[in-house]
Amino acid sequence: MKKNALILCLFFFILFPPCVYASFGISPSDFTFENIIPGETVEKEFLISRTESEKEARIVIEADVEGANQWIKVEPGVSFPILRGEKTKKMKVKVSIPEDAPLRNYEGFIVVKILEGEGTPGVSLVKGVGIAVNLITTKIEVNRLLVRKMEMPNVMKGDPIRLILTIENQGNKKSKPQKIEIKVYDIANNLLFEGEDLDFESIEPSLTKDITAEFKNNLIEGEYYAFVTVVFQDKPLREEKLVFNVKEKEESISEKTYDTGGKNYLIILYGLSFLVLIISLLVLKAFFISLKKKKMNNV
Amino acid sequence: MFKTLPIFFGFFLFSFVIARVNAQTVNVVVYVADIPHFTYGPLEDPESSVGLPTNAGEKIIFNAQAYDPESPSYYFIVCKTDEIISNAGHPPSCPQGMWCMSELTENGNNAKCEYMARIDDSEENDWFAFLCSFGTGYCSDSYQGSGSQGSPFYVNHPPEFISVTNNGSDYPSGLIVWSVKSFDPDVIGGRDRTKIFVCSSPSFSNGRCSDGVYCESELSSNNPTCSYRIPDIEKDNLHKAYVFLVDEHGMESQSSLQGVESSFGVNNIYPETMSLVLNQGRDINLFPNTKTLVKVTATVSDRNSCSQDEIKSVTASLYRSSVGYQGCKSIYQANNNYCYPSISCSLVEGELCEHPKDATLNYQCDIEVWYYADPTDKGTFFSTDDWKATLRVEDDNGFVSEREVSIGVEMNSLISFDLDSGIEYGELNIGQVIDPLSKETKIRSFSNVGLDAILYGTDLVNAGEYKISVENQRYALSKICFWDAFPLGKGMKYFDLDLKKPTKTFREKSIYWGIKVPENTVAGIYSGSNYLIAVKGDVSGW
Repeated sequence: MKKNALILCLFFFILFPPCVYASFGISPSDFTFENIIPGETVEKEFLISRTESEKEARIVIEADVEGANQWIKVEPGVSFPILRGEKTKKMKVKVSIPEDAPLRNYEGFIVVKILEGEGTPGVSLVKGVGIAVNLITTKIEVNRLLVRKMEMPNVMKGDPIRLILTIENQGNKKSKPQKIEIKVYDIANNLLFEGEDLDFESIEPSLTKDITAEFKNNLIEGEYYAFVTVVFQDKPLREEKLVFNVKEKEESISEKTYDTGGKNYLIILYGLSFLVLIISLLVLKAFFISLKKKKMNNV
Repeated sequence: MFKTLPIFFGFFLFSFVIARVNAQTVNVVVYVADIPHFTYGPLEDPESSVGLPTNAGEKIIFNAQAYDPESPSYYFIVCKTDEIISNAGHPPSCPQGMWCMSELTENGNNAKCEYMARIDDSEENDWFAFLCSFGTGYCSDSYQGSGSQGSPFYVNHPPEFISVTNNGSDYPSGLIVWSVKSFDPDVIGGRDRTKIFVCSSPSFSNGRCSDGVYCESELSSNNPTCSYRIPDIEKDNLHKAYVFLVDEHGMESQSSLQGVESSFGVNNIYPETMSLVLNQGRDINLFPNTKTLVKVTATVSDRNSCSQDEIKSVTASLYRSSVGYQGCKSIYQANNNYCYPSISCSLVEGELCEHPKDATLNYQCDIEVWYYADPTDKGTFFSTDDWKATLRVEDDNGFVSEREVSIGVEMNSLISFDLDSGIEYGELNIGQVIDPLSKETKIRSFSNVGLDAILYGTDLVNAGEYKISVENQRYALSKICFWDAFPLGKGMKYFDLDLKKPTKTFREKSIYWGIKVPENTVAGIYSGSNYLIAVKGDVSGW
């Protein structure tokens, strides 16, 4: 019965082989910035993907955005290979709006084509995907930040408490949070101390960056909670409860390794020196013997 | 009143014995006999005083040493009153009661007697010590010693344990308070104070818990109380506890409640989710024709313990925001377009629960999202939505906490498709027109959006010399008349392909092509390229 079923399956697959589709794609599919101040640069990352990676292919990019083609730059370039075995490739599009750019909408497409080997005789069909471009220039300043992630790694006793924020600047001016406040509690929810940090670097428009805030740490080993408030334009932008551990400092393992390594190194060095000495003595001995023989022959 | 300094040189007792009374003659014989006298003591050893009373059930030891010039041995006897009945050759006796009497002691040796203090003894007890000569039967005057080791002795009585209460239970870091109602009958020098011990086992000795102790009260003249702070991380359990009452002299209560079980509970606390992050806070890019791994990471805290026997399950649901968690809670609501419910999460590699040191552990949930999951970025049907995740944590008591990520992320549009590699026009005669359009090419969408297209092409060339202009090719979505179809051009031309968004598997549509071979065309093999650029279609065509 089982055998019959297997034969049936094989027959089915011979008659109707499973289709393997070689799809080509891109994500996201738009390059939209609705508030760009002339003089600014905006950028966005794209993921090019393909399901079949048997052959090397070439990615070719063309911009068709009326009035803005010259402003568009692509990393790693307008033509680059996607190697055999590579299924994805990252691509960054940067648009630098000149200071004197007219205030208006710039619409069009950035076309990303994939050229896979030599064309077939006759009419070949070339695949491509279009990134819809919509750029709107303005003089109105927009300040908008989005805190995408907050992270508070464990710290060693005495080391500063670090808060890592992943922030996206969704506005059109260089910007940063006004301040970051933390309230640290022990595990029983007793407030231990409060702190704030005002000193971190600004983020360019359209970029997502990790910024780090630091706070003094006089805590003993243990587990703690931190209520974090990111303040932007006098308002809380994001609040979050995070947990972190303070750990005892351990003896530096690398130092130990180094010591051991040093000793090993010396042992090897001494061994080699001894070996060279023995060989030298043997060579000398051989030399004297041959010299003696020579003298004897002369005699 | 009888406590004066002993006089070591003795007293003389004049005994007048009228041996015979004769009418004519009176002979008076006068014997002057020495009586035994104290050379040391009497005293309590150790002292039994107001400050250091003897607990009921413990011995009071009286010590003395005597010298009896008339007899080789003597008795040391301690009476309750200042009365003694001597009896030569026999032990003396106390007519109103005796505390204790030594054994017959050799003259000059130390004599000792013991009395076992009893609960029914008074708190304060006078004593009168006598030395009685065995040989003569003569007894000394009473003597009460002096100072703290002199009469009286004090008996300490056990405190009465009336009742005990505690507040039952509390959460980790909470306080359990035991209150005991007690009474101490000893009042001399002020009523004795009492204290309690709350032990983790019913074993209590030498005024201490033999095993662990939850708390020990201060001495209190009222009702003693003590409290135990539950550790910050503690399992939700019933903890057995036993209460012992002692007075300020360390005497344990003999009430039936002594050592009574007065257990307490540690309440179950809700687990808590922190640091919940979806896809590292970044927008999601999907991969064509397959599933893309999207991670949800979180820190789960439970102050009853981070152990796996406390945290029963951690699951995550991923959904489009307008669907919401309520629309994507159970596996029956699953839909690959917008809802991935109840995905099991696991501990991040290397995470270990060190109870009771840690309350938290890091979890990660791997969710495989299909390529056609609804996009939420600009120009999509759900552009006001984003994607969110909720983490559901359930502990062993069925306490459930559900927390949604603070910030959702966008599901980016994915444009992805497959296309036949070329158009097979075949061999055509000069002047021939493929009418109606019959050359079919299939476009298959592996996108999460509806697709339109941009079409353009190059002239078809023969050996780089002769060409058929690109405009001679026409296309349409059906096999229509060649002349009604769209002419292909060198410039990009938008084409309403209206290929719908896949919702279960890929979507497919055919484009039909035709060509007109111009009359003046030189015979040969012509080749060229047609470009099909897929673009995100207008949502109305999805």
